[in-house]
Amino acid sequence: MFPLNAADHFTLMMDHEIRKSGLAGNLCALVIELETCPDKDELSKKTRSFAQRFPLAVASLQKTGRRYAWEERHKSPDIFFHHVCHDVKNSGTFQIETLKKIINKKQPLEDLLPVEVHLIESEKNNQLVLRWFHPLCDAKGIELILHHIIHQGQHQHNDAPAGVDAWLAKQGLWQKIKFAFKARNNIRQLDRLNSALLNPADQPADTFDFQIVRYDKEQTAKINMLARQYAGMTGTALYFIGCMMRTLKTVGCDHQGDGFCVPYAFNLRKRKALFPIFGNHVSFLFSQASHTQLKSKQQLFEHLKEQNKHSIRHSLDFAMLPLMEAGSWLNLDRFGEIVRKNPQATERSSFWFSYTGEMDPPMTEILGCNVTGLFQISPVTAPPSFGMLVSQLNGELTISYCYIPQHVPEEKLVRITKQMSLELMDQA
Amino acid sequence: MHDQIKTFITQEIVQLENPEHFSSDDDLLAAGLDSMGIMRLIMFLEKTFGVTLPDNEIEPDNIQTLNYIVKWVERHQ
Repeated sequence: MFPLNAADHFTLMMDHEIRKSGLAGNLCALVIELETCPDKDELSKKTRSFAQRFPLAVASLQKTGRRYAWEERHKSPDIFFHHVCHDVKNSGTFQIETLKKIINKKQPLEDLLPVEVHLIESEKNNQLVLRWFHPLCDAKGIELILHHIIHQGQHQHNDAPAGVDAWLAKQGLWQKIKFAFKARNNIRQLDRLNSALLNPADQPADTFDFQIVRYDKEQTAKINMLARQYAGMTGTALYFIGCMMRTLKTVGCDHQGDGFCVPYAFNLRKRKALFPIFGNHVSFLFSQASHTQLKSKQQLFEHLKEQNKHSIRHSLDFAMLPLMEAGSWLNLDRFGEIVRKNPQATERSSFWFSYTGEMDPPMTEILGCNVTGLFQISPVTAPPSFGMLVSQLNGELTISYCYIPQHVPEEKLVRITKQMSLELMDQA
Repeated sequence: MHDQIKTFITQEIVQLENPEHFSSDDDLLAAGLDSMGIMRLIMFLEKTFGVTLPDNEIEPDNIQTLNYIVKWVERHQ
């Protein structure tokens, strides 16, 4: 049995909430676009070999008492799937539809494969899709899984505790409790503003969708330069959050609230480390701004930077870990309610956000096929029914807009993506 | 206040063999008050007595015995 850590439990709770929203669960995908199609037998062999070396990748999630743990399966299942488009004219549609099926496939928790590797092959484009169940690992972890599948056997396995477990193990009982209350008090402070939401999500949902917006090298360089200018050297994530807040304000939210509140994760792994592969090694920060603070872009980012500095200065970032650890002892329903809802029973998150930055370790080719693009997809709860995931490959940004179509109509999504590009390029 | 806290601790937080012999100076940590118990206790105190207990004061000197707890809450009322 492999127990889940506190952050894994947090993502499991989100799985529960996503399922309650009517979707398949916390199933995410890393999508690698390839110029040509890799040898499927070679890829299948490498995937099988990876699963044998790392049985956790094919384990089954089981409830043990109040908590959950991964249990090894008696027989290792095949996690490689091959999809071929035979209709050349409709290869683009085939890819999108196949991808949507993969991330929207509903199945019981204990039957879920933690990782699936899908090769979507067509005459014009090819995609390698790593579909992962979030309690297994974070977005950085899935990049490492891809690395270990392709470059198998080149690295010694390292079991040293890292990230969440290491940090929590260093804290004494009283320190953990102090941190947990510090985090709770911070959230109480945030709850003074009711969060704006695109849609109150009162219609039932059954599927989620995505839209990809790409920026070329020149546009990416400009956006990254503006991010440094507005939000500082380390504030790229803040730049995307702030620009989206202003975008939603311009486009208009059905539930206007008092302002926008956005939680975002930061990774505790050591930079460039190839281990640990599994586990979520993240904690959380919040960005919040009132409607008044959104009026001036300059002032908004001064505010967001100061808020971020305050959080780090007072250890509010790491303080979330003991709170998540305490939450992991609650049942998923109760944990979800506490995490998502403010005292007015309104959703706390205005939208979901993830920024993974440039892929690391870099991957320019897979089994001799050039990598031409990369994006991530993640489901969201309803509400907020809307999320934005930013990734970068070879100096080119990609934004995945993940949304629930029943709550975010296509016309509104088009307005959001256009307005967001204007904000990012400082042309709004 | 004293009795309300005592009832909460003995009925909800710590399983005592002889709750009737529980004294206000007994060491609650030695009696089995764990981290989840401390968190539940603090939330109970804040809600029941309408106080906000500062996170930097969460330490044994304020929680180890029933008498310490009562004094801690009184200081913030």
